[in-house]
Amino acid sequence: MSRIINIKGDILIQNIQIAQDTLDELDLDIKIENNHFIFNQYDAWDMINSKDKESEIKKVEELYQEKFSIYLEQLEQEEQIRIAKEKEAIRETKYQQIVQNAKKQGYKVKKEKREDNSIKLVLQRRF
Amino acid sequence: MFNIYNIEEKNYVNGDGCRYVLWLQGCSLGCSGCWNKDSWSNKPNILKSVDDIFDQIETLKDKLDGVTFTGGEPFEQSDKLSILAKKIKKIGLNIHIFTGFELDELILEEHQELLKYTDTLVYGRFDTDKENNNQKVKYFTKENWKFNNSDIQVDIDSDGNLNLTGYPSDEFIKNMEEINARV
Repeated sequence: MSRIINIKGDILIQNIQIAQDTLDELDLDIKIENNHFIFNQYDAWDMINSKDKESEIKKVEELYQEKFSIYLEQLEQEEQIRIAKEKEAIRETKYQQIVQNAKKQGYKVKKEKREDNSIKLVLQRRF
Repeated sequence: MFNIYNIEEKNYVNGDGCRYVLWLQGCSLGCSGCWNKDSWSNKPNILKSVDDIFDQIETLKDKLDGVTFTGGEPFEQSDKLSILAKKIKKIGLNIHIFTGFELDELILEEHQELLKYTDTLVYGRFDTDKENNNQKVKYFTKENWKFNNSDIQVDIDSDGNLNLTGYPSDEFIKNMEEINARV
């Protein structure tokens, strides 16, 4: 008896590169099709155990999800760093402009304190 | 509960050194030159208990030189303020109060109780037509601070928002608004 074994994984692949890396690492007869992991082979001699293949797909999916989570965390960290840099640039620009304006209006900087990503400026009028 | 207009945890332009500043909500005096008119209404704004405020001050006490009560009109909540003031004195911080009342108007028992814990009182109806805006100073303890009604503090928070306290001129405020709109 011969048959085609066709098993499709549950999860939707959101990053093909990570999925491919996962397959390369595990080196199994599993492919990617329509953003799912699949096993699809002609079983001429009834040699393939479907249950084993289901387990293999589960293993691939688990490793993929682990890698994908790490990738998302990295993206989030990069985004946080980008936002922090953007906010720092805004703070510094405002700081420069405030000091410049204050000096024009006859103030000097009496105190400057920087802590917790914030700036306190105490300006004193020169008489 | 206190009815509060605003709180600044570390402010350098409302008294001697680094101060916790409590702006009380509500003032019936209606000084013509007042620039905190939003603080006149007695409508509940930020409501906090004596213990809420004291706990916050106690956490910050190593970084503070003292506490300032301003407003609004602090003496219109003097019953609760005197309880808070007594606790503040016990942890070694000095107290400054900015009031619109004249000294001879602070005659109620609760006013006198609050004055017992006050180190420096800046008093008098705010009036820009008079010298020093009609603000006079009485030192109940040592004279360790020279009243200055021209300093400005600008706080730029981590998101880049600006907060202005002290005695900014209209021109300064306008420039700050322009900077905020531009950046």
